[in-house]
Amino acid sequence: MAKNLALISREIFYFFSATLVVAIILELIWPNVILSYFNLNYLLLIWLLSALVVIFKK
Amino acid sequence: MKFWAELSFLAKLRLFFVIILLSLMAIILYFKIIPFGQITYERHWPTVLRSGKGFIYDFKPQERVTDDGQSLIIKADPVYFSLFTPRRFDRAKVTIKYYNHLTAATPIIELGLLQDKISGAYNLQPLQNNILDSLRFSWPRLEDSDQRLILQAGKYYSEVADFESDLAAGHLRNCPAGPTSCVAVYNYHLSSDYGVPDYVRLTPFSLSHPLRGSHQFYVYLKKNLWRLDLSFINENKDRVADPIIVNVYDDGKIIATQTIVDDNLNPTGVASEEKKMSLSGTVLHDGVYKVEIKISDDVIISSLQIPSDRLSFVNKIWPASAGALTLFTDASYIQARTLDPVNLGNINFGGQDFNLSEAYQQFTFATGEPGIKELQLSKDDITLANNGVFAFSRAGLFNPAPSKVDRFFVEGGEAKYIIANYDRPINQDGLKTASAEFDMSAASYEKGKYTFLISVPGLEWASDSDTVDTFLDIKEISVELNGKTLWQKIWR
Repeated sequence: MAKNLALISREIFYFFSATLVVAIILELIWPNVILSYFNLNYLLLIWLLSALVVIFKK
Repeated sequence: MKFWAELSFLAKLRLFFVIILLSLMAIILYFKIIPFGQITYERHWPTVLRSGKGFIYDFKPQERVTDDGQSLIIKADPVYFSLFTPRRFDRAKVTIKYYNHLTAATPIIELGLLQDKISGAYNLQPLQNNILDSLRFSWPRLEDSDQRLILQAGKYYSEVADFESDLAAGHLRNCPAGPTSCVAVYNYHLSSDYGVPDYVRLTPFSLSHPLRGSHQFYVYLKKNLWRLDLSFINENKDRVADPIIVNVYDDGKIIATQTIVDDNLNPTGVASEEKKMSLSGTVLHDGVYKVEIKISDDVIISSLQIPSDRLSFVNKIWPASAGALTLFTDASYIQARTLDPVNLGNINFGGQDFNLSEAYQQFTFATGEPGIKELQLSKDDITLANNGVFAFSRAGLFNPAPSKVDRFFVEGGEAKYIIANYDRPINQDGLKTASAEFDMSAASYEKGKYTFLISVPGLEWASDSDTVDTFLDIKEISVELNGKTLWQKIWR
């Protein structure tokens, strides 16, 4: 169970990393296309939290 | 199912996240392309939850507007805002919900869409006109439809057809001087057949004082060949290109146009440049033609020559010679502003002295004197604006356009008829809802943004005052956009 949780938290971190990269690339191509709907700082914060969870699970 | 069962837990998890990521990208792409060509963007006050920047934002200048999250307070005129759209649209319907805390001195609220960035021209549409709302019930209504409102000071006509035929013939009842003198319009284009019988030109017009920035003027031309010679000085004080566009109109249709493209994109250290332009053609009838000179404020019109001695600048003039000057205008007020404290001082308007005491601030000077007024400036380089025309000589001044129902409109004055294209706002317990429609295809669209303005002419706020008594309290702005669908873009 603990192994699975570690795996899930790592995959969540990968997911947020990929989402963040995609969002930044889309913003660079089409400015404001995401920022108009959603503040990327929130995503950055969630990504950071997911990274901390991965570190502590290790 | 067999495929799914054979997948490891990790693979299933990754597939799940990939599907979520692809779905998010598809949603973003949908809202970028807007394949059905229709979308509505809204902004509400009070703001409950705002996760993003929003589409309606950047209300400025800051000293004229307050956004505390509960209300958007407009304290002074005008206020600008941006509308971000991920693509272009053809039409927009903007609806604003607001509480009106204005006084009788500020009876008009208008919404504008930036048409041209060089000249700063806005397409203004009405939101509320208290003068018309009041006159609608005190003057007999000849027509009150979605397209047109016709009011008359007395019961001169009972049939719209009779009014229209008399208007076309130029002989309205109780209007001996012709329709231009006794018809006032609001958001309505009235074709005028302004003519000067037996017009004899004395001397061709030659500009005596240089003018800064965009200008428009009416000129009366005789049926014949015409030629317009212009010289410009690009001061190269700014770092952007300064193109020059000149259009000549006959009743709203362009009959001549010319453009000088500015290649000087990096003018730092470059001295001013002189540019010349000539337009010519043949006019088929004697009459009024309109010339539009679209230039930035970095460009000066140093000379202008045209074979007519009747020439009037429309709504605005900005003489830039820094010397004494006498002008003439037909309006009862002027709005004056200078950017240089050196030009502060007295302005004599209609025989009265007014003091232009502060730079960067717009002052409104009004006089009760009827007819053409003289305007004496001890120093120019002052922007002068009003709802009428300006000319360098009394004889050269003429205004073919009917007067406008603006905040200076006087009931019982010269206007005997009003023609307007205007719908009054809906009132629900003091909350007013007003809409304006715009053609977006000709609007300025830069960096994914359209620029709008909210104008309450005459609304001023003293910066030294802590309280605001007269203001517009906006609760909602919604913009309904319509454009081409994806299929129309692909196949047409």
